[in-house]
Amino acid sequence: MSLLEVSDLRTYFYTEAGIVRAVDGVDFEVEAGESLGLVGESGAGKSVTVKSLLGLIDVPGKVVDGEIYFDGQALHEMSEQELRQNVRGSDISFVFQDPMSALNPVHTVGSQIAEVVEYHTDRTEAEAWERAVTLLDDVGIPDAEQRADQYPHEFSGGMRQRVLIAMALSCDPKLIIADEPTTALDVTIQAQIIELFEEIQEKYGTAIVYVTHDLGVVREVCDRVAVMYLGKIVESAPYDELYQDPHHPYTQMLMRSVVTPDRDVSELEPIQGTMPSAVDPPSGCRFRTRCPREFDECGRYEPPRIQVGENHDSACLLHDEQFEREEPALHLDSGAAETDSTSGSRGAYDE
Amino acid sequence: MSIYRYSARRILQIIPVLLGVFSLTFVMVHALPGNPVRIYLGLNPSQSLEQELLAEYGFNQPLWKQYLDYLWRLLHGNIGESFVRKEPVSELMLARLGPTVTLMGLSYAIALPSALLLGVYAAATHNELGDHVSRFFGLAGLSTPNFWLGLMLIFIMAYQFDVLPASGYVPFTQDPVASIKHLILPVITLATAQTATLMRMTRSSMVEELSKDYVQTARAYGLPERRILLKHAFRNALLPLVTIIGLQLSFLLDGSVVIEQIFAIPGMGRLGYNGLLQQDYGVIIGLNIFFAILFLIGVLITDLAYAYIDPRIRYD
Repeated sequence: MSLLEVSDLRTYFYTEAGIVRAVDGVDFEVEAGESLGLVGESGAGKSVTVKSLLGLIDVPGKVVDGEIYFDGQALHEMSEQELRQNVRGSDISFVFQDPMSALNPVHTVGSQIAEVVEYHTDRTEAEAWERAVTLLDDVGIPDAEQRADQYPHEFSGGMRQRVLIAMALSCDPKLIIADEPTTALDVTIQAQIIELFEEIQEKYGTAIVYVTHDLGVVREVCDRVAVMYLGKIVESAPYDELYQDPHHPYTQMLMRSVVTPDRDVSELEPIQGTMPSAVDPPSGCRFRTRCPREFDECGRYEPPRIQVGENHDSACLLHDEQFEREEPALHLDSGAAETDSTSGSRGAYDE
Repeated sequence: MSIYRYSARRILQIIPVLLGVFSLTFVMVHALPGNPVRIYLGLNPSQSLEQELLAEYGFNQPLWKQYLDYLWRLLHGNIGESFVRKEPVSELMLARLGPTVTLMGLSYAIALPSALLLGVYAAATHNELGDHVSRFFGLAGLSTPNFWLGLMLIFIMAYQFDVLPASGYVPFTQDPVASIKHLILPVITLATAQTATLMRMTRSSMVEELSKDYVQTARAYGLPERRILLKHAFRNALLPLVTIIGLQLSFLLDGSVVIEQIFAIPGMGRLGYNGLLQQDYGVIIGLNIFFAILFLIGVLITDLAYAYIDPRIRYD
């Protein structure tokens, strides 16, 4: 059994503008010691997905449906109290995006780490402090003993992120969730932090869910990638396979829009349009409004995640044999193709 | 080391401020039409008596000379003499210090903790019933003038139900029970507006802090909500509040002038009020300087408290 199994997770925000379906039926798994990259544009629902796992969604948001099994425990059935005492910070820990604001400015960094240690383990105050110093040393903070007694404003951004990573490691978690941990840092520091994550995984065998919009970062850290679009996972595969053979049109376009060593900026193809609102998502496939290969059925059926290789699935009707056709001359003969393909597919997806 | 030097510098800065306060007060009381002798002698004074008194007290001398004389006396620690009461101002003030300090101290001792508690509670129940109720009372307390509240309390508690004395003051050492009974209404009156103002500030400051990232971090690490509220958010929320808390000392001062008048408390506010009506130069100047010193000390404590609460502030 996997370390983390999430199925049909739905988190909605009840705003005055309507119900924002930020996460709308997300399934994924993380094996022990594995690192999963959760990739997507801003607003795809990545952060909400990972926050939902720990019940960290504030009003007006709410996890409305879904099952979350972590290490055999059903997190979705746990009370706030149980989550707080047994899961948050101890089994699963979080590294947030902005290290500049994620630490409390009026307490020393050592005391903030020691507080977590003290709360989750039965160490005494002095032991917890010692643990904090050891952790700071482990994540590469020089003179950890003195630095532990300093305040966050005395640290640089990269150093603060190291402090937060030390905090994440403080209770030997089985899973670390890193929510865009390098986005707020400059490039050289980014590389160091990414390296630190790799080291951690090697040394402690901790599973990592790495949320990012940066495919380059994913290549460094992640074994497997799940691509999110508008509250859903559209494709999931081991990184190398996804990189060489992306199946979903969105992933393909995402790949083409990223600078790589062998591709110049002038060759980039940005994805046209913007992501539709999650209040009123398009019917059927959510990507169809920006998809160059859209055809009639796309609006009618929500594509299921179809197995396209080992450990590789993609949620696109194109992968279904019923709809297999030659691209791109799609629209010319769509009138004729429509009738028989609709009747043939109804049975398959309408339950 | 630097904090001592900083404090010393700040205390030295008080001197020019006090000189300014004295000069302004001096100019303003003399700019008023009439003089204390006129008021003292009544409607139709004899010319010779008036001249005699004016000369005796030096009121007929050129203003700059009076100013320098007064300043000279001040520098020797002599605040002056009350023309009307024929007593040194320092003694008059000392005799009335007790009631004023008791009134202000008690109001503050009640207003401060209750405002902070209510504010934190309101923020913790943000947009829920508890928050709405506290905010309603906050707004009501804030918009009620304290003289009206004082009169209403007298009307209801003393006149209608006759449970508390309407006015007066009994020293605690003389009769503790009577003393407390006499203090209840004025203290409630003075504390209400204080509590309301500070509570609203506390609430908004707490609400802001609770939305910050470090609170999210604390929650993600499973820390109990109470600890997040008090240890993490409150400590940060205090920073903007410290200024308000210091400044409110001055509101207490002018509040006490009105309250002492309404409840007939023989304190410094009442002394100042009567001094103003009688154009008693010595009393007005003495009290203004005293209030200024009190206020400056409040501001100094505020600034020093910052350094203690916020590690990012360094004095050098």
